[in-house]
Amino acid sequence: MLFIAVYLFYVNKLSKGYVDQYYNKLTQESGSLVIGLSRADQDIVPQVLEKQLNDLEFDMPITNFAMNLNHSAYGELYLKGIKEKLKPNLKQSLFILSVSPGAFTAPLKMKDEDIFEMDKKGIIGKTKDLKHKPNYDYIINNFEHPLYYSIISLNSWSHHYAHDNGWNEVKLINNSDKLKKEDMLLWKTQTIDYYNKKKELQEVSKYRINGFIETVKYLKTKGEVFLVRLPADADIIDFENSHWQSFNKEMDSISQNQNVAFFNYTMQNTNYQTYDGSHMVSESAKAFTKQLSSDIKEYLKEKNP
Amino acid sequence: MLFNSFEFLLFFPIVIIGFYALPHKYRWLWLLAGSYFFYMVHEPELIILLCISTLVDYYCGLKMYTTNNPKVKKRYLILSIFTNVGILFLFKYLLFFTTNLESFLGFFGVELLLEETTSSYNFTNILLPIGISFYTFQTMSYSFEVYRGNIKPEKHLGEFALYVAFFPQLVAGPIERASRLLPQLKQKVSINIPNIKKGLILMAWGFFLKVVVADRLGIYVDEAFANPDSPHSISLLLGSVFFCFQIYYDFSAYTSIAIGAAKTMGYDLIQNFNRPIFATSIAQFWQRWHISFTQWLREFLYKPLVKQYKINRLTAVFIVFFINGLWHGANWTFVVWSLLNALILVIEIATKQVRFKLFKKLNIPIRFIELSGWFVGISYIILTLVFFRSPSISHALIYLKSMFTFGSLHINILGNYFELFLCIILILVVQSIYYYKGNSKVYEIVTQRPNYVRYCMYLGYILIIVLFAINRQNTFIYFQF
Repeated sequence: MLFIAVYLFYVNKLSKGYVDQYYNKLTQESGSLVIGLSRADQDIVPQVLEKQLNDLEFDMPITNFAMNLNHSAYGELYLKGIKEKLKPNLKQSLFILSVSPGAFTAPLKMKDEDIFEMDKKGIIGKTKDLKHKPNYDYIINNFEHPLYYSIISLNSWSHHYAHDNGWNEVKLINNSDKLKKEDMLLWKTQTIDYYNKKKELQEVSKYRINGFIETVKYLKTKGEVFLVRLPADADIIDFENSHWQSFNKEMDSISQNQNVAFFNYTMQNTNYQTYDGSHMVSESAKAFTKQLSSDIKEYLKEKNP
Repeated sequence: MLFNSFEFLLFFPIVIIGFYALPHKYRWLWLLAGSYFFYMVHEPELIILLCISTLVDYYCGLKMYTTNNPKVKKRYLILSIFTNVGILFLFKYLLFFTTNLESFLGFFGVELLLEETTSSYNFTNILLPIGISFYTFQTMSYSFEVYRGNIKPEKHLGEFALYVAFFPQLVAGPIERASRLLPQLKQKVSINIPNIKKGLILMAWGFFLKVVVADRLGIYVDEAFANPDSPHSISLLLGSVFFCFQIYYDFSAYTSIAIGAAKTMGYDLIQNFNRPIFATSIAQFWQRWHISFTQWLREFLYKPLVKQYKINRLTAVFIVFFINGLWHGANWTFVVWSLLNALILVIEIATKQVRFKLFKKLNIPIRFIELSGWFVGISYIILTLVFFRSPSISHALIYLKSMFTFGSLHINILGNYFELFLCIILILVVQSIYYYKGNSKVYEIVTQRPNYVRYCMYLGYILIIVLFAINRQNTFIYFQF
């Protein structure tokens, strides 16, 4: 009993400070969502969307509910999580679904039921409560660091800031220093290495594609859905395109069949700076989200003149 | 069921309370039901294998005892071995065997479709039954002992089944001899508070070793072995050193919990470790590491090979270590790891006299010889364990090559330096405790203190577990064997 009491005391203490990069995504009910993997997690800024699209009166708040391939890959569980995350009685929501070849992959020859079982080991699979603060369920089931972090937080990188709305911001310059060019170059090399290794172990998964289509179908009934392929470093985009040459066409085809918009920003990679070839630094993420907001506005103006 | 799970925290007190509350004649039934439940929590259907092994060995034991005909006796021994090794082969080695046979024949241009055939029987798709290598070897030791006339067969099927399935040591040992455990299981046990205390302290020590130390080291190890071609040589070196301690603490943690759990019920299990890290030679290391298994190999494999089949001692060492490697897993990495140990062991044995003469002639102090023996031995153990931890031989070779390339001396730290520092401190603390108290008397660091110090230690323990445990329910490494 004493053990449990001490444990819960420190879980509660931890919940009052910084937990980890994903905790803030699971602490509120949402009116609109940013969905996808790590690029969406860092590149799409809810507060910019809220400000820029204020006049369109989308349901608020907008939460960045994107994580990474281990936790928020398209499929049955992510869709279930999205449904639970949304407020009841929505009027007009906004859903931005990030798409990239990596979002539709699964380990080689893995059966659908095994992919489902694998997804159950991710955050959404392990957490029942996706919308309350403090979220003890999240901490007990997902916090992998020792609980002494509730006393001394050693868990955050000084260039990283986890916003309450789920956006994970990476600052090029923080109070004391600037990210070094050689570090960023090394990270980019590591990203490409990671992609090269991943390509040997993963394949395009029907389960993921079907999960994505089901997600689009469901979200269409709740509001406006936008499929977005985010910009990244040219080498990374070339890598993706060379391994899935028809990807843009297939996304076009899904968007036409489902009657939703598809914005492809991969040709605009020179406008935005990434710190590792794949994820944008804060300033670029804000600028990109502004661009995205303006494109959404324009699209809706054309759709509903 | 995992020892480091909340299910076990509920299961264990219920079993203990029920055990002491019941009259002696029903305790075997209670423990047997508890042990089967413990095993069935995750893979209920695989209990059938445990039951087959139990029934066949029970039957063979009785039959071997009642016959005077040595040929018939041998036939029942073979039936027991065939059943247990057969179960092991089907569930652990079939895929390994077929893929290797296929590759071997493919080398000569013969094409087989064996892998598909085995898949169609669905053997390759099922999970390896937990603890299969432990309980099959334990029951085989019973058959060997009955065959040799060392023990009488157990007539009570229930008590024999309990010997095979006794939950503290069912899934990862220690591998108990029937002559040690069966008489204890029959003995009437009354509540003995000092024993219960010792047992609980050993269990607490095991939990600490697992969730605070071994799992913490495992984070660095996983990262290092996931990137065998990393340019960060120091990180790889650290990964291999940490793996040596991780596997030791992980297995030692399991053993402490097993021994502690049995002790709370008044049963003494065999010690599995005796400060192996302080061994001053490879031979000494193997006398101190996984003692119950090495004793099994010596008694039931090495001795018959040398005495009965007149095989040369050094060749017998290689055969035993080949089996030791295969026992650990259906992968050539385990065989290479084990044979590398055999190689140095054979060299040690073969050069023993020459070395001692040389040391004497050069007048080298014994302390220096021991220290250098320890350093060379532990370094060799650490290097060979790279094969044990790697998924393939090529992976291990890449790892070793990168480790000695010294491309970058930078330590690629996961998390932070405090955690790395903590790992090193924890290793030093655990090794100091083992140095002074040994593996079997760790409880003395608590029981020999005055009351107020003990209560402070209990409180400190709770705080350490809550604050410093790695919040992952990692299985014990030896569960996979």
